[in-house]
Amino acid sequence: MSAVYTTDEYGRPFIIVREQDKKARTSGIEATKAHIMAAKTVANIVRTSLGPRGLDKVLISPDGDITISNDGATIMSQMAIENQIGRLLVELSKSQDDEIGDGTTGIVVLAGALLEQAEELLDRGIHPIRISDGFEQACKIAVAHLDQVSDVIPWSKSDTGDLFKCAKTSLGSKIVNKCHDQFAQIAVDAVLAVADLERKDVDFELIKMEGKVGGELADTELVRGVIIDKDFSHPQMPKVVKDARIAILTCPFEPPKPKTKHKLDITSVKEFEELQKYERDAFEGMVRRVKECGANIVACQWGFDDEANSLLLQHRLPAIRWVGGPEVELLAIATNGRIVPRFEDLSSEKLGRAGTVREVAYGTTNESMIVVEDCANSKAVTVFVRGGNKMIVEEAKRSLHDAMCVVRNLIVDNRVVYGGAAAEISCSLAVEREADQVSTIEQYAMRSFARALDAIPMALAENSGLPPIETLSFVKSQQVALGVSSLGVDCMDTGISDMKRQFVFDPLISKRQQFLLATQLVKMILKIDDVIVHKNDNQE
Amino acid sequence: MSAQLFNEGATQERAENARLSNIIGAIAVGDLVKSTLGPKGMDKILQSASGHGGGSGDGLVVTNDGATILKSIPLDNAAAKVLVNISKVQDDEVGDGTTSVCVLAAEILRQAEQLIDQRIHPQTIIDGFRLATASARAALEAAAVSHKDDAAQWREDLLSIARTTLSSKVLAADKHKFAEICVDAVLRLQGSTNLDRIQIIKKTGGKVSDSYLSDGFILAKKIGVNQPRAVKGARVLVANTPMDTDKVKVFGAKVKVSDTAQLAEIERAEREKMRAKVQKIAALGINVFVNRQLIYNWPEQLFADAGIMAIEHADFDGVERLALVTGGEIASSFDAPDLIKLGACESVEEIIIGEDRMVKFSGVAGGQACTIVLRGGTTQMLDEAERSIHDALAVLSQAVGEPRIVYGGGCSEMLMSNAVDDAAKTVPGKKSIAMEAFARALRQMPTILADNAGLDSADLVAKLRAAHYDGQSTAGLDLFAGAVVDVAGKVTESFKLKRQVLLSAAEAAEMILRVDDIIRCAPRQRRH
Repeated sequence: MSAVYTTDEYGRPFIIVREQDKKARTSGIEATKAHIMAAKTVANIVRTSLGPRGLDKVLISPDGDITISNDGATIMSQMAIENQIGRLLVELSKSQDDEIGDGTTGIVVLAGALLEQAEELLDRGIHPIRISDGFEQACKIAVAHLDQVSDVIPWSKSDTGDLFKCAKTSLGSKIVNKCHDQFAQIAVDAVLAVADLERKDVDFELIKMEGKVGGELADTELVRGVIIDKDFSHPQMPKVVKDARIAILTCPFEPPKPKTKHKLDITSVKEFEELQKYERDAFEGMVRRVKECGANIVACQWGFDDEANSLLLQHRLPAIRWVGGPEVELLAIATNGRIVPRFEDLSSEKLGRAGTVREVAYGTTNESMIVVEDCANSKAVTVFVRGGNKMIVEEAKRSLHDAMCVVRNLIVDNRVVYGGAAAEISCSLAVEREADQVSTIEQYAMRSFARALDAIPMALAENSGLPPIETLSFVKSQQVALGVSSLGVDCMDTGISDMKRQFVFDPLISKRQQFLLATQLVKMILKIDDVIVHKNDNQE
Repeated sequence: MSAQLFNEGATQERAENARLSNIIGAIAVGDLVKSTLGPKGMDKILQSASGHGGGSGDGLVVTNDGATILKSIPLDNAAAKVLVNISKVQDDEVGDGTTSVCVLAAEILRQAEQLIDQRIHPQTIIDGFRLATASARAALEAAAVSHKDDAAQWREDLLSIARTTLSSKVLAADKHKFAEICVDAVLRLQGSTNLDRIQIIKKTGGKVSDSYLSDGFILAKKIGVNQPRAVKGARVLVANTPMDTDKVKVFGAKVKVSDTAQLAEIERAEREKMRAKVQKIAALGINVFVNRQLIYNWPEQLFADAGIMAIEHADFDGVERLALVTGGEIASSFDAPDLIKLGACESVEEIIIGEDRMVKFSGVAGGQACTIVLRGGTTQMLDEAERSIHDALAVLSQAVGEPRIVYGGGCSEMLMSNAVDDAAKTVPGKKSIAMEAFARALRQMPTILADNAGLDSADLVAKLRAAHYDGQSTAGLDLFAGAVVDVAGKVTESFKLKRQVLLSAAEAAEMILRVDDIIRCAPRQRRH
């Protein structure tokens, strides 16, 4: 280990790093290389998930729970990586997930490839800063080139064909491609249902995903309304309410409970009796108010007293209790109702309206859910996911979320680039071309960047069982020879390598974000030349 | 070389290793439950380490039910856990076929392993399996028949389904009797799938064949002291209300007295309140009062004075069932007599089963709930009988909603297998190899049935296959005679069950096949 103390002019040692025996330190090129090694290892794990024929990963949590996923961000976040650089990559994939929602695997693979290339350059003795400068320039060129090769896809509410194709591209690599068209259609319909086309904004809060094991993936459906995972509060309430007027309450059916601290002392029989009377009146008043405002169903965020429950039944008011906070909001939005915090505020115009509210039972375990359909406001939808086991339902939810993100991105910006790594190959060629015109040693770094971009088509080809180098050189030569930038790796072995004709689309912003974020991260890693880790105390 | 990425204790299995560990895990689970399959399948004893656990008898469970077996075994293999989960889902969805679904998934994976050995890409295998599943499903749907319009035949179908389910269980000897019981019980539900409405009372003693479906409804509770033991023409109030002391619910209320006289007065007021409540209840003109909550001695005495039979602490389920049976509504407030719907039944009386006294409601109006009384020699026996009955009831209740039936005894599997084989011939490319493998996996089901019965499976299955190719689409195995026979009307299974087995098994197999990497986080440190 390198010296971490030095001596002053009298030969007395003084300490630079305190308690050095409890700390591990790596520095210089050695540190950079260790980082690259770690990043490559991580990238190699998710590399095989890339593309329509990529495979899944099983992740076993510390408690033994199992997640099976193809989604880069999910895999990364559940791997419990301890290595610092590994964690940076987890963050990278997470930020792509937060920002774009899709392409979380690709970004990690790209970052890994960039670092791999950087390692070679380091071996040649090029300074890390020069490498990152070169990468930066190359990234600029690549992003500019992406804009050039992008195509605008027209879409409207009635013509969603192209959105559908993009959603299909996103779903292609997931297990749900068993019912490919169906899921893609659900993703498109769900997003369009809640999209604000004026502001080009999509509020994902309005799309709820509810999963229930049983049936199969093909039974998944889009419900234009709200599903609440609850049942009616009294077993004898009617299971179906037509033409529902819903009172949405956030106050419990219980005697009022002032927020300020108070004490109510009963000192005489009279007071005791009065209090009883008050209590009874309070219950009856609540139910009467609900009834008077014209509601025929009550959804309440809190619980009911047994007595209130019975009163509601007697007044023929079906009620749902313990509805969760988000569900209450969703219900209010969907039915155009207002959330009413006090019984005094109830009035007929604050009621939510829906065509039908019904309780649906599943399977043999007496589980049921309440489905609110034909709502006054169609801008709230629920995707109801079914599947043969718990893991598949979870994975289907994640996949749908990704696909919805893709559709949302296209609503925001309807430019696309071609998938099957066509965009990467085209950018790689462009960067290579530009590199020759750079006079400084950044040239090398730029060429390396181009080679790193090639890693994506290679991985795609490899995962699809195609010879990677052969495939890549074939596609590359074709792109140059024919001048068509939409040629890519034909993963599905259809015989067509033009991704435009195979309808493999990726949103432009997703690709651009991948390039920018990956480059940024790589620059950051290359800049680190010293790591000091506090070792944990071993006593535990 | 790779860098240290994970916490200490974390492990990673990759590519072939991961696939192997998954497939082996799944096959192990399949093999574990395989021997319980079919009418000649054997049972398993599960003994929990701590000596107590599931079931009522010292942690000892004897069972034939796949879901119960798998639930009780702690497994550490990812693929095995997936299989356990599909078995559980099968249990929740259709109630039976929990063994079949695991075994089929394991057999599919066993076949897939050989294909992977031949260097076929897992995704290609999956594509083939999907085509195979689709054609198997189409064949199954084509073969399904419904007799719902013909009442007599429909009942016969249900009986047959129940017999098939029960034949592999401990109740096989009395399957005709129990099939009748189950079908009658389910038909009383009138289409509801809420099995909570069928109460199963287990009492040790007597023999299994002494079990019966009560014509009324039995509540395992006692009648209050000094109250009538039998009531004719009962008017029943089902309630959920505190009958101990009626607490003041206004928040923060507190009784504060300065001397004992006041205390006595308050106490009196409390009693008056309770008396008023009882009077209100009595004024409804009832003679039977069933409460979910406790009834204290004082109100109990008041009820006795009023000549009302009062039953306390009847549980949520009990109250709900009773409300359904008698047609009354569960009430918690008694101020508006005209809004309370009372239940009615011809007579309520105390009966004795075994050594316990219970309350029987007979001649009920609603009748949407019922009671099955199970008798048997040991608690293990009773527990297993209950599980078997539950399976049969679950299957039947689902069959009422989806009346189509298919034939068992390996008939449907052979039918699907042949359909897949035929379809494979029209598919070019490697996918057809995967489809053929899928067909082989389906054929494993009758093979296992025959093996478990100690028959020459290879010979029988080949004969069965030939019979199907000969156009006898209802040919199946008779495992008692050891021959290929026409199983139409003899061994019947619910279409929904078979379809769910096929789809769940295929989905799980696909999911497991898609995996090429297993990352196991370091187990959480347990504090000692």
